[in-house]
Amino acid sequence: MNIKNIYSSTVQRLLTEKQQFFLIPDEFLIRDGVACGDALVILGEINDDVINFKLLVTDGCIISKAVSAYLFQRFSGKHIEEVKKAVNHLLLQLQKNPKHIFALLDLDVIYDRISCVQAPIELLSNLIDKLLSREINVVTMKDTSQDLDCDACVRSSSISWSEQKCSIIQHSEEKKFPTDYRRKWLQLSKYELNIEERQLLHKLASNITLEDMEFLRHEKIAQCIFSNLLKYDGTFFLHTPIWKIIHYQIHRKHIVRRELKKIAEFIKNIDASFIKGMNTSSLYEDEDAIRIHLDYDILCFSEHTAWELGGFLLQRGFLLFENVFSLKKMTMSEDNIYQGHFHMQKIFDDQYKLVIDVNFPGFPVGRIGLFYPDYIGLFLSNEDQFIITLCHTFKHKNVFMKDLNDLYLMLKKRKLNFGLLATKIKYLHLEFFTSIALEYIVKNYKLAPNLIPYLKTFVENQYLAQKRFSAWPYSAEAMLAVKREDLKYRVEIQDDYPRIYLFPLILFKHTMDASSLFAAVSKTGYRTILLTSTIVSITVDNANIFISEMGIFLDNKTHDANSIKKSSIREALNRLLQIGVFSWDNVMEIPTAPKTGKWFF
Amino acid sequence: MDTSELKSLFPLLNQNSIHYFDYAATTPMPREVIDEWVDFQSSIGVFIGKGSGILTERASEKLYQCEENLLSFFQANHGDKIIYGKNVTELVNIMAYAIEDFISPMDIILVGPYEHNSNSLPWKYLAKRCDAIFFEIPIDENGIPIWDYITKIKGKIKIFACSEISNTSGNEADLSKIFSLLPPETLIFIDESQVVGHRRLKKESRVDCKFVASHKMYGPKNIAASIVNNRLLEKMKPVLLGGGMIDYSGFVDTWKRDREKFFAGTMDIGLITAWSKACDFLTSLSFDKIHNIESLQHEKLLTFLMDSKHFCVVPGTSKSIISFYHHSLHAHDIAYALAQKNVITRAGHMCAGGILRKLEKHAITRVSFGLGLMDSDTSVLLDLLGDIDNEY
Repeated sequence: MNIKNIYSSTVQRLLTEKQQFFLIPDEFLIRDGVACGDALVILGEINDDVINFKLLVTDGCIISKAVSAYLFQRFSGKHIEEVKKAVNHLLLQLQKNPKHIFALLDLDVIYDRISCVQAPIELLSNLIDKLLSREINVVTMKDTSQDLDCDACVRSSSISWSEQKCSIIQHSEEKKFPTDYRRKWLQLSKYELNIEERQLLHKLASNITLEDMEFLRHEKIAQCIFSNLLKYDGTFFLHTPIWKIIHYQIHRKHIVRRELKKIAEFIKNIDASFIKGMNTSSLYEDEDAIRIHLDYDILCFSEHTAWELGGFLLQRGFLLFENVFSLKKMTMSEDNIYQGHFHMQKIFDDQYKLVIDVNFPGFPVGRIGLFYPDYIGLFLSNEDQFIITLCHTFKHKNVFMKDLNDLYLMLKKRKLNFGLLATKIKYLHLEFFTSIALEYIVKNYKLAPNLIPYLKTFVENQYLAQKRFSAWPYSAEAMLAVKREDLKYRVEIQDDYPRIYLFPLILFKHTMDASSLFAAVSKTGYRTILLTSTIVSITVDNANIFISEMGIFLDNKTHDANSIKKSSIREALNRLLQIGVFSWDNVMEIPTAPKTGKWFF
Repeated sequence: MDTSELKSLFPLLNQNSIHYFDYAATTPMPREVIDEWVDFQSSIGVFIGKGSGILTERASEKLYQCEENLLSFFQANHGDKIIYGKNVTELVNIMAYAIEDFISPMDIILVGPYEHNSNSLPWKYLAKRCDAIFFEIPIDENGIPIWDYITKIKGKIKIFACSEISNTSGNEADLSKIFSLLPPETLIFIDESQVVGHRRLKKESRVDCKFVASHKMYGPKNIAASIVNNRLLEKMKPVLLGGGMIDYSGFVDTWKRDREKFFAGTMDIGLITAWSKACDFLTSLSFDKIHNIESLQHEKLLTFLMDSKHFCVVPGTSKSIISFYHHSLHAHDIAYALAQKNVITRAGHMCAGGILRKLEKHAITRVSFGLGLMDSDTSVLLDLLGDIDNEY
C-alpha cells in the first residue's frame, strides 16, 4: 500500500517541493506539534516589505506537508501586506467552510484533518504578525574588561545586518547590592552555620521579600538558603509561595535525569566528562541537602569530541543557544589552541529547561589560562574536580557560594592527594586563588582538625589575603581586586586574545568529517585560514565564517554595527553548497533555541 | 457465546461494515443497553423529585436500584456515594473546585506521568488558583514512572491523582505501591476509565474518589460518576448551583447535605438505568472471558509489531491497548489509510499532549480492544499494517 496514493495528485506534486534555499531568518517560530500532531517550523526574512520564508514540517502528516508547500509556493517572495490579507482570508474560509481549503489540494473535506490544514496557515499568520511588529534592537554586549566577568558566559549581541535599520541599545548594568547586604545573605548560604548564623537565618527568612529572593536567585544561593532552613529547623518559613521556585527547581532535577542518563551513555564512549555540579551533587545527597544544577557542565577533551557531543545533542532534540557560542585563542606552551564554549538546551514537559554547558578542550583558568584534566572516564579525578571548582570560584564577577560549599565538601568527604593537588596548583599558577579560597574555608567552615595542616600549606602568607581582601567573598570590589591581581600576573606570561563570538548560520544534522570539509572549502576561492584541526575560516567581504564539524558560524563582530551583508553571507553559503562542503539533507531545520519561553529554570 | 455471536449483540458494529479498534475512546452499546434507555424514556421519562405521582416514584425507585447495582459493580466501600456528571472530564473539574478550600499555598498536588488532559488540567489549575505546587511523577530513561519519588518530595502532598491505566500508553500504575508511599492524609483520586470495561475494579479503602465513565464500558454516553467516600463528600462544597441541590434559599442559602448538594438541574435517569444494564451485561459475560478475547487480539498485534521492520511499540502493560508509531510515516496518514478500508483506529495525541512529549513523539497510533472484535477484524488490520510495513 503506497500511502501517498490515497491522496490527490496535487498533494503528491506538492510533496516534491523542497524549499531548499538559504534564509538568515529575522524571526522563526516553532509549533511543537503536540497540539495537533504535526510539528512545524517557519523561518522568515523581510527585505523591503517582501517576505521570504520556509515553512517546514519537522514531523508531520502528508496533508500538513502539502499545505506547507502550497503556502510556500504561493506566498514566499511576495509583499508582506498582500500575504497577510490572503492568509487571513484562508483562515476565515477554513472557519466558514473548510471544503474551499481542501479543494486547493484537490481533496474532499476530511473533517478529522482540519487541524492539519489549519496549523501551517496559522503559523504563517503568526510569523507575519511577528515580522510586522518587530523592532530591530541590537543590545550591545557587556564589556567584561571592567568587572572581569566571564567573557564566555556573557551573551553576545544580535547581528546588526547592513540591510536593516536597527536601534543600538546599550547594555544595561545589573543592579548592585551593597556589601553588607551581600555579606548578610552569602554567609548564610554556607553549607554549615553556627548558632548565631542560624538565628540570623530565621530572622531574615521570616521577613523575606521579593527583592531578597531576586538577589538570592541571582547569586544562585536560594537553594542553599532553602537547604539550610530545612536543616536548621526553619521549615516553618518555607511555607510562603516565594519559595515555590525552589521546589520546581528540585523537581526539575528529577525530571531531566532520564535525559542525563542517555547523555552519560553517549559520553562514556567519547573523551568527555561531567564536571562541577554533576560531579559534586552526590556530596550533598547522602545528607539530604539540596544541590540544584542550573546548567549541567560537560568538559570535552578535544574539539572533535565537542562537535560529536553537539551533534548528538542536536539529534536528541537539543537546540543551540544563539548568543552563547564562542572561541578564544590561547597560547599554551607555544601552541595556539582555541578554547570553546557553547550552551545547548532542551525543554521537558514544556516547562523544564535542561541546559548543557560544553567547554573544550580544557577548562578556563582565570581569563586566559586553560586546565587540561586527566581523562579517566565519566567523572574526573577528585583532584581535577577540585581544581575546576576552584577555577570556577573565580570565573565570574561575584563568587558563587555553592562553589565554596563544593570545595568544602570535597575536602571533607573525598580522598584528595594533596601532593598531586599542590603540583597541579603550582603548574597552573593557582597558588593565589587557592590561598584566598582555602583561607576563607578554614576560617568559616568546620573542617576535620587533621586536614588543617595540609591546607595551611596552601595558604601562603605572602599574599596577605586576610588583610588585603578581607571582604572576599562578599564584596564585588574585593573579588575584582583579586581577579585583577591574578590577571596582571598571567598577562606577563600569556597573551590575552579577544574572544570570538559565533552566530550559527547552519547546523549539521550529522557531524561532518573535518578533512573532507577542508578539502572542499579550499576550492571556494575565498581566503581560507585553517584555525585548528577541526575549524577552518573563510573571509567573505568583511565577515569571517567559521566552518566546523558541527556547523557553519559567522563571527558576530558584536562591536561593529551594520557591517555584515546578509546577501554576501547567503552567496557564500550557496557556494559552499555547490562545491559540496555540505548537502541540504544534512541541514538542521531549526537554527537555534527560541529566545523566549515560559519555563521554570 | 463465540465472538461472532458477541458481535451480533452490537447494532453499531453490524449496521456498518467496520473493523472497530477504538474501544479506549468509546465502546459500542449492545442492543439490550439501548433498549433499556428507550424503555425508560417510554415508560417513566422523568427525573426524581419533580412533584409527586407514579412517574417520579418509579424514577426514584429505578434510580436507587440502579445505584445499588453500580456501587456493587464498582466495588465501592461501605458508605461511598455517587456523584453524577456528563463525563469524567466534568467530574474531575467539579472535584477540583469542590475541594478548593482544602488546598493551601505551597501544598503539593501530584499526578501520574501518563495522564489524559482531563485528569491533569483541572489539578494544574487548582494549584494555580490556590498558589499550590503542581508536579507530575518523573519517569526514567525507559519511560517507567519513578513512584519512589513520592518519598523525596519536600512538602505536603495534599492530592494525588492518577489513571490506573493510561489511555495513551496502556501503562498500568502500581497502585498498591503508590498507596504505601503516600502520606496517610493525602487525598487520592483514581481515574478508572480505561479499566471499567475490561476488568473488575478492586476494593480500595485508601482511595477517596474513583472516576468511572459509562461510555467506556458498553454503556451510554453523557453519564459518568465519581464514587466518593463519605468523609470527603461531607467537606466538599457544591459547584453547580441551582434547583435540586439547595435546601434553603434566602438571605443565607444552605445546601442539601450529602451528595444531594451535587444534584443541580435535571438528569436523564434513563442513562443511569442503561448504565446499570451495561454492568449486568458485563457481569453476565464475565471479565475472564472479556480478558481472553482482548488478550488474544492484543497478542496477535503485538507479535506483528515486534516482528515488523518499521513499527515501534510504545511501552505499556495493559492488554486492552497497544500504541505504536512508524519510523517514517505519520500516525495521521496511517490512520487515514486504515480508515479507507474501514479499519477504525485512533491517531494523534489522545488528548494527552503531556504524554506525547514524554514519549518524544508528536502523534501515535492507538489500537484498543473490546467486545465485538473477531479474529477476522484483526486479520484485516494486520494485513493492512503488513502492506504498509513492506512498502516503507
